Amino acid sequence: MTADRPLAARVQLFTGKGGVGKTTLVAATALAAAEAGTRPLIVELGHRASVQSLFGVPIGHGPTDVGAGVHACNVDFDEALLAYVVDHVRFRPLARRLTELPTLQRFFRAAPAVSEVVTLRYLEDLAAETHRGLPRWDPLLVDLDATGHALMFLALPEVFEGLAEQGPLRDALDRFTALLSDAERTRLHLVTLPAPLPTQETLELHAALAARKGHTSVPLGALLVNRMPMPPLGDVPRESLEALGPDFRADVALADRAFARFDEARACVARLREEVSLPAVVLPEHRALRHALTLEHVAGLGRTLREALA
Amino acid sequence: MTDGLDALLDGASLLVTVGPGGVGKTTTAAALALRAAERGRRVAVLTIDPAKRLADALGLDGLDDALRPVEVRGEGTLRAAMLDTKASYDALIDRVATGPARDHILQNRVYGAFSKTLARSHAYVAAERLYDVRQRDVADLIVLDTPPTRSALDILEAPSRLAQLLDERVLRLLLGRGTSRSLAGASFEALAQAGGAAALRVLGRIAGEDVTAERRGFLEVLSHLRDGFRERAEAVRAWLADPATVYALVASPAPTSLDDAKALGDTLAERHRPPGLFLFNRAFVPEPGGTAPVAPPTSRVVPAGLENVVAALDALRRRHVADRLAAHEALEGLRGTLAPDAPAYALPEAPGDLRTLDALRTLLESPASLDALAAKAPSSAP
Repeated sequence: MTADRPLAARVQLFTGKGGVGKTTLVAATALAAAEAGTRPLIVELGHRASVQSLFGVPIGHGPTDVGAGVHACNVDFDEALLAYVVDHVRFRPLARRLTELPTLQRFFRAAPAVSEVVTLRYLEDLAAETHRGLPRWDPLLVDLDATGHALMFLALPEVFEGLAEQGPLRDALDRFTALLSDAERTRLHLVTLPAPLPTQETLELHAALAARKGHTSVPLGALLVNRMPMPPLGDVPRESLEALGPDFRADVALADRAFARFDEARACVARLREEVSLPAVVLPEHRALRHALTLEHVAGLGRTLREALA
Repeated sequence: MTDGLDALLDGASLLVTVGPGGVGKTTTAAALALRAAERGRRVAVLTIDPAKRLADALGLDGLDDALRPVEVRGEGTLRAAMLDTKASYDALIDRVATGPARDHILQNRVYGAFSKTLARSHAYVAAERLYDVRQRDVADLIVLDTPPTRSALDILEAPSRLAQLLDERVLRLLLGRGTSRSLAGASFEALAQAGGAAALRVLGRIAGEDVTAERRGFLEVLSHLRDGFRERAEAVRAWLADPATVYALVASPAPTSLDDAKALGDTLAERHRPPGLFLFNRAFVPEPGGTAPVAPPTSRVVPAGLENVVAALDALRRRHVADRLAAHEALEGLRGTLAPDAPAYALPEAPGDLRTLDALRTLLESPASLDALAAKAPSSAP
C-alpha cells in the first residue's frame, strides 16, 4: 500500500504555480530514487531547458542517460503523434507518410486535444516499458505545466466524456483514466512556496482536486513547500535588535524586513498544514540555490524529501 | 525618469506583458493600464492568467468575462476583463453565427470539448477578445496579460493555428468534399492523390467513428464561418506584429526568475518582437530609511554583550549583498535581449498587497533606472 508512502508510486506527477521550483523538485526526487537503487526517468512535457541546464546534457524524445543514475526525456509532438498513428495503421512507413502530409500536420497541430491525447499515450508507453521482466522506469517523474494547464491536462478524459462512446480513442481514454486514478500506481504532488499567493493558489487547487470523485479523481501524493527561508539571524532572537543604537539603523531595517518575510512564510506553512491533509515536506531555501543550481544541492533536497516521506 | 515609459504608454496600441510566474505580472499589467488611462487614454486591460487576481488589484468584486468599467482620475477611461474560456467561446459564436447554425455549433460535442478546458483555448480566446475589443472601439490601448512563461507565447501562435485549422485544404480533406462553392479551390485532386482518402480512413480508425462524425459536424458548421474567422485571425496576427504593439517583459530579483525572463526575451527577439519595455519588479525598497546597506557602518560602536547580534547582522547583510550582486549579473545578461532604446525600470517592492487603485498608482510613480540600481550594488562583497 502506497497510502503513506507517496514516493513509492510508479508514476509521480508534479504540479504547482509557475516559478515554485517544480523542475528542481522533480530532479531532486529522481536523484534520491537513483541513490536508493531504482531507475528514475524524468519526463518533461515540451520544456526541457531547466533539466538540460541542471544536468548539462541535451535530452530528446527518447530517454537519455543524464548521469547520476537518472534518465530524462522530453516529449516531441511529432514523434508522439507518429507512435500514436502507428498503433492504428501498423505500418510505420505509411504512418510516417500520413503524419508528414502538410494538410494533416496542420490539422493535428491545430485540432483540440490531439497533443494531450498523444502525450498521455507517450506516458503510458513509458510506464509499460520493461527490462528483464521488471518495469524499466521506476519511478516515472512527470514535470507538469503550471497549475491551470495541468488541470486541463488531467481533465482530458472528462472533456471526452459522452463524446467518444466507443472505438480506439475511448479505449485509450479509459486506460489513461485507469492509470491516473489508481492510487497504487499514480500520485500527484503539489509544489508550492511559503508566500501568500502561491499558498492561496495551492489551497484552491487542493480543494478542486479533492472535490473530484470516482474515476475522475487523481490520487494526491505529498505537499512540497519549497524554499522556506532560514531564521534571518540564526539563533539570535529579533528582540536583541532593540538594544542596538542608531549606528545600526540600516542593518536593523534590513533584518526587520527579513523577519517580516520569515514570519509570513511560517504563517503560510501553518495554514497549508492545517488545510491540506497530505504529508507535507518543508524544504529549506538553500543559500547557494539562489545563485546557481548545482546537482549536489538538488541531490541534498532529494535526500531531505525522501527521509521525510519514507 | 518616467518619460520613456509615458511616451510608450501614450503611443502604443497594444501592450502585452510577458514574464515568468510569480513576478507580479498581472499587477504590473493593471498598473500600466491604470497609468495610461490616467494620462487620458481609453484603455482596456485583459488578463488570461487563470489565477483570478486582477479583480483584487482593481478593487472589483465580480470581475468576469464581461468588460467592466473602472473608475479612474481624469479624462481617460479604463475597462477590465478576465477571460473565461467557455463563456468567451459562446459569446464568440453568438457574434459570428445566428439561428440554426448557432444552435448547431453550441450543441456540437466537439465544440463543447473544444471550448471547455483545453490548454490552447486560452490563447484562442485571448486572440478573439483582442479582435472584439478593438472592433467595439472602446479602447485605444489594450493591455494584455499572459499566463506564466511556458505558455505566454501561445498567444502569438493562436491566430495562425486557428487559421490553419480552418484552412481550406484541411476542411476539404476532413469533410471529404470534392467540389463546393464555399470551398472553391483547385488542390483537392492533388490532395486526394497524396493520400487524403487514406488519411480520412485513418482518422476514423484512430479517433472512432462517432468522434469523427461530430468533428465533421463541427468543422462543417465552422466552414461556413471560415472567412469571418480567417479575417479575424489575420487581423490579430497582423496586430501582434505591428510596430505599435509593445511586449513588456517583467521579472523580479530572484536569479532564476531573471534567467527565465531572459529565455523568454530571447524567444521574442528570435521572432523579431524583442521586448520594448522591461520592468524589474520588487527591485528595491522605496522608503529612505529602508535603503539596503551595502557595507557595515563606518563608525559604529558594538555594545558590549551584543557581539553575537552584530555578527549575525553582518552575516545577513553579506548574504543580502551577494543576492544583489547575483541579480545584477543576471540583469546585465538580460539587457542584450531588449529592443534597442527600450525603456527599462526598476520598480519598488510594494509594502503589503496591491489591492487598491492607490497602491497600483504608486507602483509606477517613482521607478528607478537600472543603472541607478547597478550603482547601488557594490562591485564586490565586503
